[in-house]
Amino acid sequence: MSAHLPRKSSVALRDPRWLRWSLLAIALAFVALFLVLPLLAVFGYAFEKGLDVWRAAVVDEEARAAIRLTLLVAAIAVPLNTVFGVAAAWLVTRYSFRGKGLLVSLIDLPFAVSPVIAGLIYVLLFGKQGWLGPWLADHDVKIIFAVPGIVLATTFVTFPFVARELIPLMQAQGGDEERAAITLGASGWSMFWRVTLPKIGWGLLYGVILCNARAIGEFGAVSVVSGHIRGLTNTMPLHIEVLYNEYQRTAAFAVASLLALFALLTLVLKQIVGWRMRRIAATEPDA
Amino acid sequence: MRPRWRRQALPGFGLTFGVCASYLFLIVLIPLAALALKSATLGPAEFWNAVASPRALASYRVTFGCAALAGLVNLVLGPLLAFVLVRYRFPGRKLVDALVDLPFALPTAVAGITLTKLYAPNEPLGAWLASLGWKVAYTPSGITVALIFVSLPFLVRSVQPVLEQLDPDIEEAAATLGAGRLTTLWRVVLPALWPAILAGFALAFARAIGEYGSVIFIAGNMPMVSEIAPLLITGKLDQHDYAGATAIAVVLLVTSFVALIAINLLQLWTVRRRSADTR
Amino acid sequence: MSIDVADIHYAYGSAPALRGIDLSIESGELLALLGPSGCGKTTLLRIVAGLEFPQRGRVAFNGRDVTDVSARQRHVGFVFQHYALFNHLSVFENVAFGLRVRRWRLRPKRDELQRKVRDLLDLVQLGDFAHRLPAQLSGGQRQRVALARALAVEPEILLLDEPFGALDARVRGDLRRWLRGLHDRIHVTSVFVTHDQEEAFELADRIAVMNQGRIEQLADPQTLYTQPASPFVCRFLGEVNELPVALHARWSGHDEADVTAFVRPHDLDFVPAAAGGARIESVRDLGPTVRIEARHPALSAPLVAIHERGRFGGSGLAAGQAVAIEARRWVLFRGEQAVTEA
Repeated sequence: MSAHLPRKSSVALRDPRWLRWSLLAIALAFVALFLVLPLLAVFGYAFEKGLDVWRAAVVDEEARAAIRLTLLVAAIAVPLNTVFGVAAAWLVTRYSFRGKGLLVSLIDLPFAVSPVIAGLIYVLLFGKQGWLGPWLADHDVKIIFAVPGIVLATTFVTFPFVARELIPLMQAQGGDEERAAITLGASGWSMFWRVTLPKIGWGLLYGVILCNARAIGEFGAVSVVSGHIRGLTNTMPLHIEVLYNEYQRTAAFAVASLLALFALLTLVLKQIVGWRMRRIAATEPDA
Repeated sequence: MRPRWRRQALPGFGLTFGVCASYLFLIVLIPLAALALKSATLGPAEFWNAVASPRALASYRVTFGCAALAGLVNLVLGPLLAFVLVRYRFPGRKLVDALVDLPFALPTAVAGITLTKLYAPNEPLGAWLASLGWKVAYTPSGITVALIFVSLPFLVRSVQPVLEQLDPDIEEAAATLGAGRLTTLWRVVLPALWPAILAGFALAFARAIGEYGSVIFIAGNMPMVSEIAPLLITGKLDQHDYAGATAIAVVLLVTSFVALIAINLLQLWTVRRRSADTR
Repeated sequence: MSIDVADIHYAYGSAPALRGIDLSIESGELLALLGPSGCGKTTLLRIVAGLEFPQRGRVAFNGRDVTDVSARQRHVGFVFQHYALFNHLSVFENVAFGLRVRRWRLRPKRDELQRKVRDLLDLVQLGDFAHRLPAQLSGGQRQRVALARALAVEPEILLLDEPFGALDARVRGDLRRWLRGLHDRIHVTSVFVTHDQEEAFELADRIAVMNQGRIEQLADPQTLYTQPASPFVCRFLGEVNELPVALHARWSGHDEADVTAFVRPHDLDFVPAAAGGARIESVRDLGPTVRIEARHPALSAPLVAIHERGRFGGSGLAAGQAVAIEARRWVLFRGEQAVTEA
């Protein structure tokens, strides 16, 4: 292995050899210990007792219910946040109005809230002793310890992802293409589908990938509102917790390996999409 | 005269404003208001008892202490990793660059059980560390390890773009002025990175004090020793002590808001200072 | 289609950009909005297009009030400064865009659309580039795609924001002669924004010179040059010598202390004289012309005369020589007011 320099740098930017090698060694050791080792360990532990044990854990009835629920929750929360993210980015980057700064800070707010608190606020609102609890009970609507609560908590936690990705992108792109479309007689929707969406496409996909990864893996918020009813309100991360605490460690790691595989897929997609975005930005005629 | 919002050249102001405002209210503001209202219904004494009980105080010490320690480790190693990724070319660089996001992509529960097993005293790594007298799993050390993992990307990713855009001219200028390479890195490059490093640190810290999934498995959850504040909240919820849970949640929320407001002020200040410099 | 703009006021927040603009543009005219950056010319153009809405004032097309009509319904062609081409669409699809987004009933049939777009691409000489993406074109070609796209919807008004601003000098010259030729053929009412007086003079029928949110003068190029309405217009249209008449410009027939004669360099003469007051400082050969600078002790700025090579040949002027100042043509201003001669 050799450490050489990026092309544009001059002799003056060349670090002494001993410095280069020590920085590289420290950085790689850090990565190996904190990132590579845990990643390999997930798969190691999952297949510790062979493929059959792994397969049995994954096709188990409760595991399959957890997978279905996780996918269902993501399938609701991600589109909701996608629509919101596009609307928020359009609003923030195309108009100036009073309270815009506040709106931008509010969009970021869920990032500052602990997942456990994200769950707690819904319990306080919809739980048995919550503000709306008695009314909900009278009308036989169940939100906490049921699927709607899980969806809400997941939506809260993944709320900013798409908007965060799109706002700087759309700011940089500017709105002249959209204005051109309007002067050419396009309606609002026609402008959106034909001009805006193709323009922001990759950035949107990037945001959706991040949002989806978090939605699938969310643990704290979901754990508070789910009630851990097996086969009904256990998502994959919760199912892992149950298995782990019941000392079915290999089964827990088997399900965990599915999520780790998904995380790897996310990283690959993210890399591809990020690469596409940089390439498009580089060929854009007027930067 | 028509209302102001009608006079926008691009369509969609009313629609997007409506969507954003109602969604924000439904998902974020009303539920957070429920938290504020709940804490307002607690009497001062009740609030204080919940917030300042010895067990709660111990949990803050563990939470904030481990979060700060993890942040400090990343404060040193994160920018170093970013520097290596931006400035050096080595085989596998792109792979390492992609892996930095693993803690964002890997569900926290998966990270939690994996780190626990890795550092458990009956596994090779944990046993070796224990033989050196360092017990990691089920102690605050374990919590710190988990928090280093989850907050690692924040520092790398906040420093990386700044480093990429850093004008090599200033380093060449330093070299022509006779500065050695280490002096240049220390006196020229590092100061340019400080705002990004501190912003990354604040984000990492805010994330770490709220972290739950990756911590609870490795923490051991011994009251007074290795119990984190978010776990105290869920514990109180399990006992239907909503008031107590809310009080501790308020402490956590305020702390992370303060950390994040501090970044915003810092960034504002840096932008002002930088623009004043170029005037 | 004629355009009438009356009493337009516009402010970005608290910063006024336009302060009472009145302007009438005749049907088929090619008008330039000329002024320094920040004078409000682009804002005015965007208000005409419906891309900004004024806080006060009215815009009318052919006498019909369109102040509250959206850009979509105004039916004007707009060419953006950086073209705003749809980068994900081919040249052909860019030009076809305005036709494809029409309501179903008004949308041209497939063959008709093909023919129309082809004709337009031929008009802007890009017939062979139909399937390229904008990123694969040169600046001048992108500019022409933007123009063809705007013309595709058959607008009766064409608005161009700094149409040549992003191009290099040689392409700019070619393209503006081509655009003038195009306008002579299709006669669409056109308004373009520029900060380059040469460009305005070469292209426009009339020029509106703008400064600090107001129109200083609206006139055809010749009038603008020979009878500028204000010192600003005079200065903006090119290099000019400013001589207080009482001191140095008795030839003007005036001697009031507060009147200044504005003389273009090619209208200024230096005549060798024993005690003329001014002294030649430098003589620079610029090829076809010669630039002579003289310094007068009572004036802070040097006086500049530019003579054609032939005329200079016999004058025998050289650095260090004492000279008297003479002018062949001049304009007089008292403060901001033009002094009209009897």
